[in-house]
Amino acid sequence: MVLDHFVVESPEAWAVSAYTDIANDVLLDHNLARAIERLHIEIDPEYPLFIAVGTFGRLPSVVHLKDFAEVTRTPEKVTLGITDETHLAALLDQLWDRYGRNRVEQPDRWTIEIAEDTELPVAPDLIEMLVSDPSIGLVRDLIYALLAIAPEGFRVRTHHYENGRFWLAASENTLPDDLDARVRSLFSRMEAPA
Amino acid sequence: MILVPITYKGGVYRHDEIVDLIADLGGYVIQKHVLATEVVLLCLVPREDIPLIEQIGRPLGGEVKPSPLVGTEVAIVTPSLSIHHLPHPACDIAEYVRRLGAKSNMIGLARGYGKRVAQTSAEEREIINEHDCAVFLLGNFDHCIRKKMVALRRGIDVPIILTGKPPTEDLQKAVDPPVAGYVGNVGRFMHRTKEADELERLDAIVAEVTRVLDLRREEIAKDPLSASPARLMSVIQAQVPEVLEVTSPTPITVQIAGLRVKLPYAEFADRVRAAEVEEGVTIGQLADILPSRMRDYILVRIKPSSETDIVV
Repeated sequence: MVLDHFVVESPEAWAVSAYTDIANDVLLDHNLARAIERLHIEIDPEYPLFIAVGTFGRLPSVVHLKDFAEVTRTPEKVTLGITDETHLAALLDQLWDRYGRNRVEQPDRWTIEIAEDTELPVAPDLIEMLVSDPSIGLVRDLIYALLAIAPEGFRVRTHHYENGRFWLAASENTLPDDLDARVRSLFSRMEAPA
Repeated sequence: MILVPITYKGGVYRHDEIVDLIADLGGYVIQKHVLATEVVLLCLVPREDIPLIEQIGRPLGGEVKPSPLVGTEVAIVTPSLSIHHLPHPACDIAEYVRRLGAKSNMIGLARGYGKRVAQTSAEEREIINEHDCAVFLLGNFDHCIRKKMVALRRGIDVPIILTGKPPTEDLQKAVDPPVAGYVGNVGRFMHRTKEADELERLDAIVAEVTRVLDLRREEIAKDPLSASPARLMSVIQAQVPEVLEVTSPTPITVQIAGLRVKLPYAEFADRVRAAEVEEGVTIGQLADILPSRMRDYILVRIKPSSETDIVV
């Protein structure tokens, strides 16, 4: 697995090699190895505590409606001409939520029509609508993968993701009071120039 | 006559001649697999007759190999049945000991994970104790193994083989009082075992299981059983023919000192008890017929001859 930084720390030498292999296998199995740029894992069997911190590399970009559809407006309806079906299901879900199923029609696979209604007119900036954010699924997969890497008995867990940086902590006991400081220290060790 | 465990592999064509030969020689076929055009027989045969079986099997494309674990039932105990422990390494190990002839059962504990909270239930302990030995697959930390093994081994009477990531010497130091066997450098991993060094680890587990079971056999030999389990198997097959209709791969599982008969206890226990081994000697006189904790099966525990004053 080629990451810019991939370190496992533990007081027991054999556990370091075992968890390096486990992390490697799990991230490859979940197709996350390419998405992650840096990963630093610390496991303390005594407390016991598992902390993983890391950063994503270049995240896949978000998808707006304008990326795959053209919008035509008439007083009675708004027509969307779809050019790529990949995000159609996500788009329909959002349109149904926003305008209701009775107003959204799909006469053929490449066309969606939304009936106009004075009480809830179709948004004028519909073309800018955010349809899909692949990083949401990526983070969900990442958290699942990190939980598979962490020892199973560590059932007290917390995680955080912001701007491509993530961390997850898990323990069998309550999480320590100085968890934030430990996470910060791991991030600084991970991001220190080699 | 000393019966030794072997595996016979050959073509399906005329394999019934080999089955008849083994029966004529006083041996027993414990399990028979027919895989397309190949047949695999797990058997117990007289030691001095192995060359004869090889000689008769050769023209039929038959091959005889020693299989030290034929006639044993091994529990592979894993801390849970979650993605953390399955399918690797638990399934890999269970499958590997099966290749050497053992009947392996995988037992995923409900609460076997965690160093502080690990525990076994009465049902889990009783199921494990129905086997000839139990292989405990623990994880990567010496510290955790030390703590949780105290709880996991409580109430287990059969020999335990402990595996984990720490080297074997460290595992030996981690557990007090000692268990029957140790295999280090295994631990938790999440990929299929196929590299040479990984297969060596599986071989080490099989070697340790074999060593521990050989010691168990020696122990039993000091006070021999009233009847051989394989013989009781053939008696039950003849006198309770319903067992032949059971679709399980081993309708009767042979153990070192007993049998697991996969028929409902309530319906068939009395018939198993009354099955006659020799004139006037029934299975009920030679063995305890007990309800198994595994489904509603029947567990036959053969008594030592010192207890029954009978050897058949």
